[in-house]
Amino acid sequence: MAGFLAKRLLGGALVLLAIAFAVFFAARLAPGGPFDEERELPKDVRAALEARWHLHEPLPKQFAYFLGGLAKGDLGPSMRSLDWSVNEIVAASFPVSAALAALALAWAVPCGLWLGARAAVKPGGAADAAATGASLAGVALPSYVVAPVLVMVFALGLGALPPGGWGELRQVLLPAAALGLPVCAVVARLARAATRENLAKDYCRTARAKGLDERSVALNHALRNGLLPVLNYIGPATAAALTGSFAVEKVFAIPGLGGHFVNAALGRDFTLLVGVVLVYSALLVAVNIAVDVACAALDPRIREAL
Amino acid sequence: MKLLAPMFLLAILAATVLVPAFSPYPPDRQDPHAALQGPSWSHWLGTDPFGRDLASRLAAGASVSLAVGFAGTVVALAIGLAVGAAAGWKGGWVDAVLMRIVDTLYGLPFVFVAILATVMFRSIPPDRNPLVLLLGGSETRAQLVLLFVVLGAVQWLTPARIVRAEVQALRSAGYVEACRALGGSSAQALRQHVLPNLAGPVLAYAALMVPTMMLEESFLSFIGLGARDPQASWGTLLADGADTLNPAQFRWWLVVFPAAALSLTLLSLQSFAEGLRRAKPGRNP
Repeated sequence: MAGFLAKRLLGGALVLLAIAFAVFFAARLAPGGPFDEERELPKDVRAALEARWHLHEPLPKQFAYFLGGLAKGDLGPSMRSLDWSVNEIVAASFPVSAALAALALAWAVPCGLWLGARAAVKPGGAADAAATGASLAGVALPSYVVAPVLVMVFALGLGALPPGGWGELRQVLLPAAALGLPVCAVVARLARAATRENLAKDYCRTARAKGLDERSVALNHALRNGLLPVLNYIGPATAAALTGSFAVEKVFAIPGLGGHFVNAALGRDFTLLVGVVLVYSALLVAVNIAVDVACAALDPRIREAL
Repeated sequence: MKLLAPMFLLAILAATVLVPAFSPYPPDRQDPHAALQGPSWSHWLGTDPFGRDLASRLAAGASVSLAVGFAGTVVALAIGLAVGAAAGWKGGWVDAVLMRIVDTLYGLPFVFVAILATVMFRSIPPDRNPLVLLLGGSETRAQLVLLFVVLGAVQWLTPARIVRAEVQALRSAGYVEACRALGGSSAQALRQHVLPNLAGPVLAYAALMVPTMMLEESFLSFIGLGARDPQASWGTLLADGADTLNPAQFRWWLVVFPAAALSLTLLSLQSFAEGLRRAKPGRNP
């Protein structure tokens, strides 16, 4: 297990390094820089700015500076928001995005599991119809379609919840709902399929034969054994919640990292761009490793294969 | 009930053709006197803040969204087919290297790649941009082609895996071995026996990819990195509608109609694709 973990951590670090390398060079090789303005900057001002970020030096040397900073946990100063370092921007806005994504997953995954299990127990029932519909809704109702509709109905129409902002619990409900809905749909579909498959197996027949009611068979036996596909989906679900939050943050005017990423890309803020991509990628790599560990903890067959 | 999805898709296709032909309002004509009107007899689906007719803009957006959906799928299939077939047929180190690349790219959210590629493209001035020059100097058209390429280039991973698995299975099939034993070359076996047998699973997956592509195009457009004003796609129309939402005035039509058009089309394409997949039993990827 320790060897497996070490291998995965090393692999994850290599992937992050490759991503840093690719994003760093892709962003800098494209023409245009962060100091291209409508009005041409005076030559000496421009030279001073470029010197501050080592932009006048050859690219490999710039990358070496960047790696040196990274080793100390320093992502450098932002190129567009001149009073801010990338670390400060990430520290200010990443917790917002992460909290939003975590809240969305926190309701969507249990809700999807419950819906999927209910659907598998009573085929043809209301929950089954909902879970079947959900398999389509996962694609047809992305969070950026749900979000404006929720604002319209609950904030503007009914006046029940605030239309945006961040800080109070009431302001979090609508964005978390919009962001979680597609995830809930996919989890419901996976849980339903896995539970149904397991309900037809011998051990479930044994459980029924010894007198267990169908509910307990489904929840304690079939769903538990069907958790693996759902667990494997947590990685992609985290990615979906993080990237989906770009659009949701925009609709609800939430001060998260997504807006910074889009602006960094459009404004050619190289340091911020690389920093944001690295933070997101590190989180995803970490989640994927955690999922692998959890799979091994749940399933002795996977544990032994390590 | 079964025909609902194909009928809705036909209706959308008909609207993209008929609305521009018969509507008195071009999609980008502004009319300050008719700004922000609700649905009426003269503007069936209302107008936006510039007085542009929403029905015309939705029809124009439909052609953009559908074009990206289909063309992006073709690009992704072309790359996936080439990589998957090479990996599955050659095996050995070719397979190992290609699949390592695929696995690594799976870990990276597509949005990052798509955003970086879009930004790189946009930072080249139009008069020096190779893609714009190639397409006869039209920047909006180049933007559209860029979307095909970007979305195709990030979505080829799953088709590559499917094709690789199928080719591996087919490589040891009796009739392929027979073809080789009779003196047929590798190319001949691939062309005559392997590729025709790939068509089923690949097409079934391609049908599922079209709605995914449209979803991603509208996501990029929604956050401001896809189609650009004055060109409309359903994603930009929805984003514009979301921007005009405010408590003082209630312009429901600017949100409801783009959202409904996008959702219902995605739903129809998805259920149509599921139907196709079920119609070919036994080979569900």
